[in-house]
Amino acid sequence: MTPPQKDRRNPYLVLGLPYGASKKEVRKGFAKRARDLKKGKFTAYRNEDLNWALHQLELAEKDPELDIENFRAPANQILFDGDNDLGFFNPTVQPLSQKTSELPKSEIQNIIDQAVVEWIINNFTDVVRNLRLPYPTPIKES
Amino acid sequence: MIETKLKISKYPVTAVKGRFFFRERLLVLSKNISRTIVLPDRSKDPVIYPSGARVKFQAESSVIAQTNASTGVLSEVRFENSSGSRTTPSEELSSLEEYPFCSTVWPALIYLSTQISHAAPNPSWPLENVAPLLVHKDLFKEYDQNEFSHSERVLLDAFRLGIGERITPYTDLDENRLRWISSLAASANNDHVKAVELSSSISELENPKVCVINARASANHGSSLSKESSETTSTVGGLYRDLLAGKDPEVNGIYSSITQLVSWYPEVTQKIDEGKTFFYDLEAAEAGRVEENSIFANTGLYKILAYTRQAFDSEYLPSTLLTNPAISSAPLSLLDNLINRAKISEGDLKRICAQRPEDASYLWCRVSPETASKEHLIDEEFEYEIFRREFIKESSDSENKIKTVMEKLESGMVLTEKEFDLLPPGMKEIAKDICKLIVNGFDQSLTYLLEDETITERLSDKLPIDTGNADGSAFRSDSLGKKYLRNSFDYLLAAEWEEAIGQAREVLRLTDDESLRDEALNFVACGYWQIGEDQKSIGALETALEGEYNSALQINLGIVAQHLDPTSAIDHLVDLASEAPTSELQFQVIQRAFSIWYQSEIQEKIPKKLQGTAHKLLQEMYADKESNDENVWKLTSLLSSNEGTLPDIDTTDLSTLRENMLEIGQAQTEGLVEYIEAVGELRGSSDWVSERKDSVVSLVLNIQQVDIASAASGVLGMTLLETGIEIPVEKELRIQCFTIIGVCQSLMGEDGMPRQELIDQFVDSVKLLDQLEPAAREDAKELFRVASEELLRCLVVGAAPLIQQFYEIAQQLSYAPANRVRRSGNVVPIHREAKKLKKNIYTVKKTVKNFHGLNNLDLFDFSDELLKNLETVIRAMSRYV
Repeated sequence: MTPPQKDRRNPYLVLGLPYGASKKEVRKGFAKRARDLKKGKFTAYRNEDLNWALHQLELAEKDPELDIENFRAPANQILFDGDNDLGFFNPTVQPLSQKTSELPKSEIQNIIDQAVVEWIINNFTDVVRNLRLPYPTPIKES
Repeated sequence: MIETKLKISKYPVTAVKGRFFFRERLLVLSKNISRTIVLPDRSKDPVIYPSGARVKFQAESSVIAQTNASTGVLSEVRFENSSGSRTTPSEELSSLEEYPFCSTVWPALIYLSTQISHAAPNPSWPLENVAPLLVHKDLFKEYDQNEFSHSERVLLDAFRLGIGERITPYTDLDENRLRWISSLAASANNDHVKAVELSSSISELENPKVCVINARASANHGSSLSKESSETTSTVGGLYRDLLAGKDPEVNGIYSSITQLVSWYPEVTQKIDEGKTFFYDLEAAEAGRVEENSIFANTGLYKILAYTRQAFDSEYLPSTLLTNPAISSAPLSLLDNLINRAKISEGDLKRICAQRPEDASYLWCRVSPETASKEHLIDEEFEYEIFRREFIKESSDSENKIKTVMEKLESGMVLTEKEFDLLPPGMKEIAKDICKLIVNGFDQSLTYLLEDETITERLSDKLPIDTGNADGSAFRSDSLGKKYLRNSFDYLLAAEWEEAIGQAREVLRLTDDESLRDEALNFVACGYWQIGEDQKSIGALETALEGEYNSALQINLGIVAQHLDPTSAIDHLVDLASEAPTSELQFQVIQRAFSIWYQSEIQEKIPKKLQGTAHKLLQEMYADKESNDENVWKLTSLLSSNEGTLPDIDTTDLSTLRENMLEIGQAQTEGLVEYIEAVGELRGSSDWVSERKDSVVSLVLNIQQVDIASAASGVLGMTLLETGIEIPVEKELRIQCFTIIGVCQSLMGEDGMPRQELIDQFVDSVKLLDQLEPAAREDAKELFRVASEELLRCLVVGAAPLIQQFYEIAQQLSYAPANRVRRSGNVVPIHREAKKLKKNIYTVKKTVKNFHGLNNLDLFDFSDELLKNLETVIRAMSRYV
């Protein structure tokens, strides 16, 4: 564990957190690192580094412009989302396989035809009942 | 009861022209606004009188028409002869309201019908003379309209009046057309028996409209009248009859004939095709195309079908669709389609299953296997879910055989056949391949296992990571790459930089996946940066940025670059800005480069490369309406405040906001005073304008607080106060005090007098002080005391020599004749000035005294002495004004 050069400290890395960690995670990270320091499990940073990091992140929360000084690691958080990868040894929920096959074209046409017939009956019967003879209308003299 | 108003119209039929010996009797064949056609007595040749001809007719007999005054609908016609007796033209005539006469010669036809039925018809206009003229093609050709020629119209009216057969010989219509016209007339007269009889020989295939005659007859007399046979009926006729009878029409009949049917009735076409989609949707339906917006989509299963075919916005199906009875009859494959597209949620299941109990198990296992009941799983023989539940079961049960088998495999042990059988289909095959990997090592047939991170994670020691594939090619695995990436990150968090770099380099060796490689390069860069290898760090980040641009990587590059020497750092950042894909990202980099330049103080002027890139970016941002206004202003301000010039900006099409930004930026390049004045001239209440005004107030206040006694403090304060920018009272008072102090301090030693505006501001500040809350007033009092004493001192020190001069002038005046001096008027301005001075000193002194008491006795004594002198001067001069 090599301490970084003084002016290269990254508050997230100091607290052992990924970039963009939440306020709650920051507090938890701080506590864990402090414990590890105390027990001698971790020696790369000192308590003053931890305090500095916590202060920096608190400041950055109030003034987001300060965040531009924090190295982003990881740069692409999505790659680290869902750390519990699913697969053979961690089987995920899978739906039952589909047992039906694609609806044949003829059935699709039937559904369409039924809709057309139903629509025509609903919308056309009264129209037809009220139809007149195809009789010429009187000529309007212009 | 509403009484219908009737209108009676009279149409002259026979008339007399001239008088006495020149009388001539005429039959009016047709009359319209442009001409009147008449047939003289016993003549065969018509005479046409154009409109405006000076001819006077006297009606002998007329047709009387009774119409509804408001609707204009004809209800009754009668013939009235010269003696006044009236006759109804024909007993057959009926339904005039619905089907009025359609020819232009109908009054003449009525005359003819009365004559024909008459025992002794009038010999003046026999049928053989009149009929050929009534159907004359050339005489009435303008009336050939809308499918019916003039002669057909005449015949229609004639058949209605019962004289059609007498007129027919004078027309040239073919047999079929004559039958159609006569049956149409009979149907219009509601004589359906006759209408059907006349139309019976017309083939519906030749004239589909015959079906209307038959349908009307059926509607009035039952089906006994109509004669339908498959040979003679058309599809349009069949469709028409089905719809009329309320029967389900044949769908093929709809596709082939509905267009034809509605074309007979333009008003119907217009009504049903209001949305202009009916015919399009019909065509699509016939072609089997499912259209989401089809007018048929709201009917039956079509809607469900449409949802399976089209992308629709809503994540889930509308609840109305799920409660639609159609859902119970929908083919299961349609529901499967929706399930596959995640359009049916667990919440929908209850509703759907209630309508389809026989499919409940299947649907539940398809949509929400984790909540499916055990019975559902058994019904569907869903072994995988049964296995999964057993595997994840929280228990210390050592009898959990599935768990034991999986743990055995996980630890690299081979399974027995019996153990394989505990796994569901699909998993069993994978387990066998894993065993193959354990026993024989990796081969190409097992490549698919590398996609499963849970396998590569646990069995990485079985993979040829270092040795490569058997064929000599490098071993590649994205999932393993991801595992190394995680390792690398863990090392970063543990501050083990070299190890982090090493693991990240493994990622680069294992995968071609760009996102994994970019992140690995980022970790390499982070590690190098932490150990002070900035150039290597930048190299890694630049490589990562070569592919898809990532703003986080760009920021990292900026951070690392800051640790280089400023010139190299700026160079790197400018290069980075040139490559950044968006103006937002370019701006961020430029901003960072400016910050490095500003802090480094390497040179007074902005480095040329940075300046050029920043200028180009600013021009692009102004030209791009989409670019962020806040950033446009930030860069404008950055350049104008640091550089003193702005690049040429094309002002065509600039928004008011951008114009203001440019104006303020330009003013900023000219100097602080110009900047304050320009901000003061900003109008509008946009956030940006308010921010500028607030910021200019803060700027002036900050400068004044830092350098209270400077002339700049006074000048900037005066400029700001003169702009009229609205300032909160507390701040305004402070600015006024600082301005007074600044101006007075700069006048000290030069025996200058403060301008009247400053005195006026002082008077204002007394009012401002009064407006403050008690606590704030107490805070402000000290500053106000300093400012007011400073002003009084400046005033009296500056005024003393002037008062001395006034005093001397007053003494000299005592030697001159008062009248002459008064006439010259020279003393008036001096007298006025002395009075003003006295008032100013008095006001300031009184304020100081009121607010702070008599603390500075020397100053007060001196002020009193000056006031006395001034009083003497004023009194002495008052004789001369």
